[in-house]
Amino acid sequence: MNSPVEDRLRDALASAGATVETETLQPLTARRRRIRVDLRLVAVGLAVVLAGAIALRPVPEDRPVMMAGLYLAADGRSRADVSIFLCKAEAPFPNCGGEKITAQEQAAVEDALKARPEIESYVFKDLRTAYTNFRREFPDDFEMITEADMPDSFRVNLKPDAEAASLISAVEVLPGVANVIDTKCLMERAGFLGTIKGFLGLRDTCATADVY
Amino acid sequence: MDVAAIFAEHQAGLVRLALIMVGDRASAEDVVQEAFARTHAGRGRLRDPDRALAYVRSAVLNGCRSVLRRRATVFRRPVPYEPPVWSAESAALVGEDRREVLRALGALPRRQREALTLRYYFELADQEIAETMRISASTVRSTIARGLAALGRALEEES
Repeated sequence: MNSPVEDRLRDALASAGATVETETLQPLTARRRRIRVDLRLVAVGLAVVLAGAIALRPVPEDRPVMMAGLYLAADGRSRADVSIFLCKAEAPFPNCGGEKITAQEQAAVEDALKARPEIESYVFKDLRTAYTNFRREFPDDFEMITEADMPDSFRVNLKPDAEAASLISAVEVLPGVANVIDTKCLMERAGFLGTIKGFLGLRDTCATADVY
Repeated sequence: MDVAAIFAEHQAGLVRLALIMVGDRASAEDVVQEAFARTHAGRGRLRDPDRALAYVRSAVLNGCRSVLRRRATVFRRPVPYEPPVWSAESAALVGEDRREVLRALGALPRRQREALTLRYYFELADQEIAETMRISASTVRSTIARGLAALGRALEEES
């Protein structure tokens, strides 16, 4: 009376359900808990946090910081290919020397972008915009992240088939640049195909700044 | 009927439901915790005790939908915390055949996935599924029929 598909489904569901043992469940609390950060993205997050953004906070156990860094590196819902984070005061990036990027340095970075033939377009995203977008995405969570945690950045889109690597190495050494993230590569690496490649040992590494 | 008591009594079942929907244990526990905190903070009691469990399951399903949506928008694609139970790298689930079934289930449209789980894991009647999913009983029947057919096709293709 049951079809083979129904039997297989019952069996599969039962075995999946059986992996949750009652004794091992975290007790429920009336207090709201924060959402956990995707652990598979932690490697990505590390590269990021440290990417410009929020490196003044303790990492990497600090989930809000990780999440914010991740969000920044992913460029939220926009689709930058490359993200260039600018130094802010006390940013712990060697290239920053603890100083915020000056207006002249920022203009020089922008001139460099204008001169790169592989760039299709770029925008400047200030910390306020970055914060507003972050807050819109997480209205109820990570309230300890403030506007001051956010970095200014340039978000670059490349022409079709253009490579990010030479742009990244040219820009990341400019004065006042905290670090540069290959956002497109990161998102691919974090995604389904990237995960599979990772397991097969085929994963490409993304050109990103060092992890601190 | 006290919401907290229902959650406490059915926590494992609710986590299992969420696990099948979102694929990984950590997300599943978070969903149930979040649904509990929300309902608990809202009102401690439900007017209709007979429907309390349907109400709570419904809250959990809603939470699962938000998780899947949030993953899809923030990260542009759904990514679980841990390898999903239906993935090859999951150590949780024994047997490639079962993973294949769960993978195929996970690929179905949301409604079909939810209705099939409520039927074939929780063995709920059409009317109970209807209340949990807030759709009509006849929609439940047609959704399950379509879901089974799609699942059958998917499994045939794989094997």
